[in-house]
Amino acid sequence: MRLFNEKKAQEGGFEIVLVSLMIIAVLIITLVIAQFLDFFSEDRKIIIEKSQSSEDKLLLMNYLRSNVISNKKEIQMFQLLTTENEKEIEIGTKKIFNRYCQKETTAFEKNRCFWDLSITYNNKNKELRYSGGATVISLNNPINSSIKIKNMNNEDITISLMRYETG
Amino acid sequence: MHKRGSFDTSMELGLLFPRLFIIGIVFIAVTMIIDTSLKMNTDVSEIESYTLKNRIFYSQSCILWKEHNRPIPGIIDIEKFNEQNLDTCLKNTLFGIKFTLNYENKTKEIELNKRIYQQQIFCFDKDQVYCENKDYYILVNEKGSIKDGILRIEMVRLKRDTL
Repeated sequence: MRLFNEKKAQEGGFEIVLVSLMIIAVLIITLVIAQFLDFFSEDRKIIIEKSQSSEDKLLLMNYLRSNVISNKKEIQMFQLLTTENEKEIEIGTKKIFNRYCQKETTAFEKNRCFWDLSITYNNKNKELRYSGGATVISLNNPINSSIKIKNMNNEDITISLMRYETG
Repeated sequence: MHKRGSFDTSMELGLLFPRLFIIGIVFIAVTMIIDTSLKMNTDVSEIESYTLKNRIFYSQSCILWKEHNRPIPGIIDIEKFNEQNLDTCLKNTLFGIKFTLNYENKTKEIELNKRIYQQQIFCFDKDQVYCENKDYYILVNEKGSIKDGILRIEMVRLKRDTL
């Protein structure tokens, strides 16, 4: 009986050592993972979802309202779009968007972007597409914006902007 | 019989102390983990700057041109583009802001909270200072005619730890 009790005490001792070792191991692993995942960092940053941007929408609205020269006359871009004069539309579009998305290395980081604009004449199944700005390494995560207008003949024109930031 | 009972009790008592010790360590460790993870500084500078810019571009009480009393987002009324208007519009902001408006070879500069804006020389230190610079393609209404231009907004804010 004494032997039995001694054995029981020995098992109890082993149990304590084993359980404490397991708890310590689990704690260390948890701490290492938490540290690795930056769990203990006191700094948190809120990032704005950029898949859609009100700034780009504003840019599109200003693009349509901009004055451009067509046949020596000053007209607004949305009027020029209805003429479907591709050369003049291209010149006006590139002038405006290259001022926003700049390729110069001295440009601000947020202005170093690549733009890709498509103008779709929905009723005619016709699309004009222009691009420019800075060269970007990856074309992932575009910031999409689009706007729909009607021309004089009540036909829909969709203008879609895809913008890629360099960062 | 009596002896065996006392041996069991003393053994259980002997095991109780290490068990309590381990429970104590686990309790302290769990408390520390929860306590550390609950403390955090949230940097909302980007959201604040986003809100301020939206106020500039969309608020009718700022610098927007109004057509038949309706503010037109993105079109700046050049007569409203002055320090007093911008100061009223962005009152109590913790940002130092410099606006540079370029249109038709003309340049107009306005600085708000100059002392904070002057800290922009420390923009390289992102832990201390939040900086955001961007050029916006805008339209300017001058005496009824619309001209295209660029509004450069340079924003500087000292981070909470630096204040």
